[in-house]
Amino acid sequence: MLKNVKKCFYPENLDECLKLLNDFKENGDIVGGGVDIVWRERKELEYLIFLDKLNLNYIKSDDEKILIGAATTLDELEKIDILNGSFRKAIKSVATPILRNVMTVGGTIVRGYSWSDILTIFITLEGKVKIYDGDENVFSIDDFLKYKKNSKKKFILTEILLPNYKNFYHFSYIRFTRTASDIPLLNEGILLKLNGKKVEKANIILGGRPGFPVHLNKVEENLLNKELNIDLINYLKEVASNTSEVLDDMRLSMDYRKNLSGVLTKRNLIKILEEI
Amino acid sequence: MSRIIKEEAIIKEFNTVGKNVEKYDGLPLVTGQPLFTDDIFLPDMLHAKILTSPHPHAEIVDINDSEALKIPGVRIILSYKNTPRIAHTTAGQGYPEPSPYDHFMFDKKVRFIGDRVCAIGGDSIEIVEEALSKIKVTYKELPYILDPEEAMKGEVIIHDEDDISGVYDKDRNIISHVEIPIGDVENGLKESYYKVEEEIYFTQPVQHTPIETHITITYFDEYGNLIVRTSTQVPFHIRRILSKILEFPMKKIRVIKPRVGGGFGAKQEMLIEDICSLMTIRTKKPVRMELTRKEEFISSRLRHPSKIWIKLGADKDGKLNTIDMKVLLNNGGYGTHGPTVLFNSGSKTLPLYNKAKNVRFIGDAVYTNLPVSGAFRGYGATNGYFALESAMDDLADIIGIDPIELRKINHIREGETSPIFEKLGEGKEGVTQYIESSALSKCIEIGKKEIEWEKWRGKKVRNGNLVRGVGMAIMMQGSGIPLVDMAGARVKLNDDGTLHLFVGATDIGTGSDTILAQILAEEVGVPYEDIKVYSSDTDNTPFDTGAYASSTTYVTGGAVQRAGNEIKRKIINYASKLINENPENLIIKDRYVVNINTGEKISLREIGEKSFYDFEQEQIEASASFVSPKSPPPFAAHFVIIDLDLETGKIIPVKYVAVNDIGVVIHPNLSKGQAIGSIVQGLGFALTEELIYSKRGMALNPNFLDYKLLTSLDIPEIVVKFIETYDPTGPFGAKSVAEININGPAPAIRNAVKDAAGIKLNHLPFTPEKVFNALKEKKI
Amino acid sequence: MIINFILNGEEVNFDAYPGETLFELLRRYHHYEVKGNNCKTGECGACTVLIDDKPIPSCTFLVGKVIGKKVTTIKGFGDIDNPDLIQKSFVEEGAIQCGYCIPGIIISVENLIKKNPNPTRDDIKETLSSHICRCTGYVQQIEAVEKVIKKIKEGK
Repeated sequence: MLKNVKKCFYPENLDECLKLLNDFKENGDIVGGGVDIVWRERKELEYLIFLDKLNLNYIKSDDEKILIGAATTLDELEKIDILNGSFRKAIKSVATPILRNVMTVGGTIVRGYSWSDILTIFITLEGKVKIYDGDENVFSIDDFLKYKKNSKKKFILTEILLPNYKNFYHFSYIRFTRTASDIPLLNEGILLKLNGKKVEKANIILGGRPGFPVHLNKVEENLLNKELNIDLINYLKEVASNTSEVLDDMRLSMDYRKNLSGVLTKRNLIKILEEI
Repeated sequence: MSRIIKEEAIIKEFNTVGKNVEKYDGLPLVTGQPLFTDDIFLPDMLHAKILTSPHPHAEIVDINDSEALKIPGVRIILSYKNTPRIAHTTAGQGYPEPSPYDHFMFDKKVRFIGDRVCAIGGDSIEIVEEALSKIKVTYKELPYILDPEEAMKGEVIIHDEDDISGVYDKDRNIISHVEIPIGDVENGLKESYYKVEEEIYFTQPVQHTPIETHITITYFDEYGNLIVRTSTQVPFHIRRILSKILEFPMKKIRVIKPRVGGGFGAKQEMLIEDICSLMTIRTKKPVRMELTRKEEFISSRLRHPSKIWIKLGADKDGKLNTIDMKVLLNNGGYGTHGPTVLFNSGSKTLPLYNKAKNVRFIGDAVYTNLPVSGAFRGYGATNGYFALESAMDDLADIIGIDPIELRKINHIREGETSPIFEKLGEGKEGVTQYIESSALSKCIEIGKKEIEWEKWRGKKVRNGNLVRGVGMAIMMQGSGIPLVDMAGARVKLNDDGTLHLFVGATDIGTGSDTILAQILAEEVGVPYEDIKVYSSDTDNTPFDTGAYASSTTYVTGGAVQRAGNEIKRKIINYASKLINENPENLIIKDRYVVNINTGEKISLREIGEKSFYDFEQEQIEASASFVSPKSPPPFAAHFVIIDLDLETGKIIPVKYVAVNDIGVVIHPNLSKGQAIGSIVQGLGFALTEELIYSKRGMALNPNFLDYKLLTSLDIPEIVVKFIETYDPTGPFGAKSVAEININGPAPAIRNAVKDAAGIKLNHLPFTPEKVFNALKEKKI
Repeated sequence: MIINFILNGEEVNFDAYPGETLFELLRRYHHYEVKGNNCKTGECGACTVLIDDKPIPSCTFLVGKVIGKKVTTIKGFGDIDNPDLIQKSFVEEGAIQCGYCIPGIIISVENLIKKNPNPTRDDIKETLSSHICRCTGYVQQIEAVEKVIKKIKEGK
């Protein structure tokens, strides 16, 4: 129980919500799924702000983009059928089925644990987030993480935008875990735009390093404008191992993560190769 | 399930035994009835929590609770200042316990991070948590020691109190030491044609993680009796210990075990009942304490981390002539089950290879400033088998024979004995045993076929970056503790013809209520549905040592069978008087007493009614006790196929086969459940589970986020088979099944990995990183 | 604060602490509706209930989110005299040992079968992966669910 919570609020619009955040300062916060707030047992919280009346639970798509309300739970994301089912498969690997029914996509991005699958997946797919802090702004996720760190302003994350990937795009996501429903000890997402087998665009994002997800630049450089084949993939495995920036933590050593970055890169690329 | 007809004893088809009767508590559990300790509502109930030590080793100079007492709703604070100081063991064992009396309710010293400092009872958990934060403790930190070999040097003494007893050597922190030499091990090794030179094995600390943590609720009933309602495996031991250490008359204590959400040995303790009880005694209010998951990991019990040295020597023809086994147990801050776990690591393993003339077992259980290790399914045998069965596999490599062949040449057989049985008992000398039932050879054959041993062994079949290996291990356990474990059973006839069975035996989810009712039903000749079972209530049921040592089916079952036999005799006698017939012509069948000659019958209901009201009235009932000089071992052969991912070091178990001889199978589904549950726990022990400590001995992963349990997605295909034998001393031929299978996965997987990639993994658990590093070293 | 919602088909309202979870609320008022250790992370799954027909670990679900929702606990399914097909199958297949994790698992399985009457073994394993069972090792639970599916195909 969050024993110090005195009152729950249900603002009817974004400005009302923002005002509450500003009034309450560090003693109030927005509840997405609430999983993180409950787990953390944040003692400073006296006021909880619920988003139920703000209609932030939706998935809309047009030809170019998919708009996801920030309060949409992860299980709803499984319905998004892009990239040959590989997006859905990636979402289904996160946490456990029952937790996906309560975790929100906005909540997981705002909380932004560096090992978060959602961060890696959405950064790979060049997702953007729309925030409201008095003004409406759209950020790339990397920029959002910087904004969150540096800005003194209170904000509400309202929407996530995903390009509606169609032909020529391929995605694969792998997480390395100890058991099936574990948090990822290292994860990697790859998005490729292919013309036949030629790589026109490559996002290779490594997360859970244990730091925040970053591009494996050298691998991307060595992929662009090349033909995807087994020999190239084996070479890129080495490049990934050698150039990935990883650290030790209680769960895995740096050396092992280095080896693993290569293995994940190879396996992701092979999966994409098998798809085309 | 196969039934083997032996030449001497024919296993006949039973009426109830051997059938999957409906589990006694199945429907109530699956419909969410209020069956567990916490499912009770008591007005004015207090909540209690323990303040635990932040230091691995320290003196408590003072505890200042003045600020805490000011908080409204705080009702009682217990510490060394206001509690009785009576040395005891928390281990639930027969009295006098073979364990040191080195524990006090609250001592003036703390011996591990997580040890008790004081306890607070208050109106709500929130109030108590706030009060705990206001307690000011002044510690004098002492040097601490986490490694048992270091601890044995005696530079830091963990238990220096004058008023403790039963410790082998306080000055060197040795709780228990054992040395059993048989024959001449040094010479035997020297003269052996084949040797395993010393191999050292390491097992890690693991926790039982019952989904229901330790929870106790105590209260006074209308008569002023202290009721201790608790999630436990040992209600009678708890009653005895509480009476002693609280100096409260035993006749006023009643311990009740409701449904328990898992125990596995963690609850073979008097762990938090003392605190709740004393708070109730002093405040007169109900008191509830439930350990959080973190507290369950840190402040309850673990499986002993251990270091085991093995040397083996064999003749030219593969016959073992020498086994040298040394076991070092890291016991943590208190002794509890240390001595008996230590003895069991040898007594349940070494007899398996009984023909080795030279056997030496040396063991030490040592204090350190780590959380406490105690009883955990397998009870030392699990540690021992990891070492012994790994070394045997290495010996097979050295000799150049198939590991299955090496086991077949050497394992114990029916009619045989081992000198270990009498030399190693429960913390003292044991009892000579002869194997009266064993289908181990058959188990090995059948398992070998089921796993397709010849197809995979030595072939290192590749599938991309996966390489396949197959490994095996054999094992035995025991069925109760001979001449120590005793159980009582009482049966009475009601006036509707049904029976009530009263047993002290402790069903912790294992299904003992069910199988004991089956044994009674079979013995008397009544349907299973006509039996109501009352268990584990120290006021209302007979004595039972509790759920441990795989004793309930064999020992309590023995009592139930004898009580059943007695009441059958009494019912028939009564009927014979009623209908004026020679009792020898009467049997019980289908709720009737039947004259086998004339077919005349009288219902049990009528007998019950007449016996209460009408004719030579009496309460027809019977009771019996059973203690056995024997502990017939179950046997098992395990086989596993693994795929080893060479790029990551991850071990993927593919198929696991366990073939068991547990005597006659009383309830196939429940036995299968015990086997599979043990196997999955054993797989976790082998692959993923480990408690990790900081340099100061603080648990770094006391949660499910970082202490990894296998999920439904991680388990291999598991095949369990039972090869029945008939043990002449067991109820309808049964032995036991509760523990044995947990001993197999660690050595079987280790041996399968050796088959796949030639690497010897001697450190549990086999995490991907560890395996990867071993592969790298071998340049694979 | 007063929380009103629908509990097993009945409209209820409770006086709740604003910062508590649905698990804590149910344990306080309706003592036997839900089992669990209140780990607050949803990692063992024992406290799972259906909220608007989705299985959710109640120890993670703040009461502020429950208002107006439809909550179903194990009490919303069969009882001792009349267990439903899934409950009976679990008893028959040896899928229950201590039973502490079972109400949560039953709820996940009820939801699985309702939404997918023909799940594969992998689907079943995925559903069970939300739950930790330390006693059974999952095999007999998978078999119990497969038995239910078989029975449904045969027309119960």
